[in-house]
Amino acid sequence: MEKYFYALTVIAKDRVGIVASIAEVLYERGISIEDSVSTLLGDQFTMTLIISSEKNYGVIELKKAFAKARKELELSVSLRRIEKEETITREPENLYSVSVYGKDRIGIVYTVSKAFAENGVNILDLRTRLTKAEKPMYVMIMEVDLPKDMSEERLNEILAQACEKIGVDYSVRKIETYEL
Amino acid sequence: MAVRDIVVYPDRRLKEVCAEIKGIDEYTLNLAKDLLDTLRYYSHTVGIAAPQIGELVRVIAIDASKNKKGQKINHGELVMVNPEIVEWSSIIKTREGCLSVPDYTGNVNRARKITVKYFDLDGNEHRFDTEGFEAVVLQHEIDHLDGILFIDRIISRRTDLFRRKNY
Repeated sequence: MEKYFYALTVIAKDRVGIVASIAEVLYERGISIEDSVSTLLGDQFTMTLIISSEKNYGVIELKKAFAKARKELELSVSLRRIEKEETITREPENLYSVSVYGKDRIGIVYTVSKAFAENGVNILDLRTRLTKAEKPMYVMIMEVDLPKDMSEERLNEILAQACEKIGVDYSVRKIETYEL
Repeated sequence: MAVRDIVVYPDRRLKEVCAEIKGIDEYTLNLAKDLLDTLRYYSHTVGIAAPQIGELVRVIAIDASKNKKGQKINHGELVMVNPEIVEWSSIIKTREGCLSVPDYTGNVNRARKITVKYFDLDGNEHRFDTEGFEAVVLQHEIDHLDGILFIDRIISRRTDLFRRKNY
């Protein structure tokens, strides 16, 4: 049976019942949630999902299905069609966890991500947070995949150079998966 | 003996609490051989528990020396009957995968150092301390004997950056 895929994102002011209202709309139409991540940012709840259906819903038709939830929970919903090939994560080759943190300023994410982009370092996961402490601190936690031939020393060089520019600290840890 | 098929989730046998071995008999010796044959067959696998080949008894086989992470500290290839962790200390974060849960990995907290006791195939009791990779392997395999998968030990990632209460 052929399946049709969509990318769905939802953002709303947090309250109880957001996931349930989205899941209900999908369930009633026989739509599966494949990969998804949802989290609270500030007081905004965000959901990003890849969903699949055996029925070929039109994007507008499917968006309309969220009308009630949108109105009741004041959700912003966006939806687009994706190809099956876009639902598969490529196997990472050389995984590292990177922490970057320091006194808050404009350009921390930009400087680090630009340096990574220029060197072919792919960001697979990124979380940032600005603390609400008296002296706000910016924390950026990433999971990155290095090009196959890049060494840990090279990754450290790239980060050292970028982080010096903006006066922040960083550290790197190899992510090893234990196949048990 | 034989390389056995791996039981894959959602097979309910992976969620059972396994029975203690009361005495080393023919069945236990054959099971031990099959565990070792299966362990050796999968080049990346460093541990296997009896329920993973469909036998609901408390026996595991490990070989931490097969992985470069286990080179420094390991006790080689071992069959362990009724293994039990008697002491734990300090924590490490690992990312684990499992033959019985294909195509999924997750971050798990494990004890970094443990003391384990078990019986060998002659019925003699042993006890040793280990740490790092081998300690993780043992915890993962012994969990299988209680119907616990590494997924049961994953902690939501959001806690990493969660706001601390004001003191």
